[in-house]
Amino acid sequence: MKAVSVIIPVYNYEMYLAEAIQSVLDQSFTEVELTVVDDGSSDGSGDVAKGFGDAITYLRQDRGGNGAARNLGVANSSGSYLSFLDADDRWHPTKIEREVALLEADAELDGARSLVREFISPELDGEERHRVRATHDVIPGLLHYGTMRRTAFEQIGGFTTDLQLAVGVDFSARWADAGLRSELVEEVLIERRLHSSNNWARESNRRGDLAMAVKASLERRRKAAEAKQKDPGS
Amino acid sequence: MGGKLSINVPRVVHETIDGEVIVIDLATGTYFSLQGGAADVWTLISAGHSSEAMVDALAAAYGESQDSIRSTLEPFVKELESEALVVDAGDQSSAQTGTAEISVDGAFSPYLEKHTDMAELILLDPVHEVDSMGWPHRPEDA
Repeated sequence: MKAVSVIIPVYNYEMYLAEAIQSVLDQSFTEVELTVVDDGSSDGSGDVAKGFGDAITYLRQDRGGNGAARNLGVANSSGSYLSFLDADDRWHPTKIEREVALLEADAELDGARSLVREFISPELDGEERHRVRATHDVIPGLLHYGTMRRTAFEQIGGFTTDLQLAVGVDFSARWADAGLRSELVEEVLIERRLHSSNNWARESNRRGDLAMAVKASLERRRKAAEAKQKDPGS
Repeated sequence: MGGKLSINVPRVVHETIDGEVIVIDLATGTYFSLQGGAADVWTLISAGHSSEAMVDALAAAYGESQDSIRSTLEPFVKELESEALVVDAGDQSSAQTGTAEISVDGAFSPYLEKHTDMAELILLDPVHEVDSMGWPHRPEDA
């Protein structure tokens, strides 16, 4: 059993997937198992993944969204730590090593995150480059970009399968609402690719999903406030 | 009040969920729950009603005088504008008006329930940088 299970969900990102996979295989921390979950791709993503042979585990599901794909990968993995990488992004070689070091140093810590730098995918032409200009230079990654204990993942019930967009916001909100702890590695260890088919663009009809995630969090906190009002000692 | 307003898309994302309208400003990460009839105003703006048409529709639905509705609506609309949730419809002002269902629940006293507790999460979720309309601007441009 490897210490860290890495899950890459992929939906029609054949152009970028190999780079993502290779960045996991190049990690300095070697106790890593990688599962690629093909979320019903209709392009060559599956062939790209299978091209890595025994270095990875390849699973395929009918299109169910990246939350369902990540959950399937977790269910078929065994590491005590979990880490997730989007198929169009890539890691620096010390990403897992740094994040696991934080978790190993503090048994009370539930997750470790790193800084993310956005980059414009090299194939974009001038007009596209202007449209996808980076909104941030460096930002702290949300939890689904980090490494977490499997127990923490299980405590909050994994990723939502109701949303196509804002799955990570929902996950991080539930993490916070459950009182789980994370710390930040102050190093850029994740590179997020900006391109013309990022999820926000290709799932543009699902932008209300962000409001769904927000509403769900609001409802959890309203219920918690109601419960506290009924029983101030709780 | 002026002519027609429109929802400030793509900066603003909004959805009606279980009867509650949630509006998110992607530039600031602030989100709002529309309360006290505010959802009706939002529905009317979404449907392309002019300010005077909103007054007429709300007065009829709530059984209040037009002056009473207007005096409540004007400051609320100003608040929507100051929060950058709606903008002057400009050259879209000739667009057709859609149907809008008003669900009266108590007196007409619209207000915005403003939340900033998820701003960090919303701003850190790096998904809103691509749009055919040119969104977004860096938050400091907002």
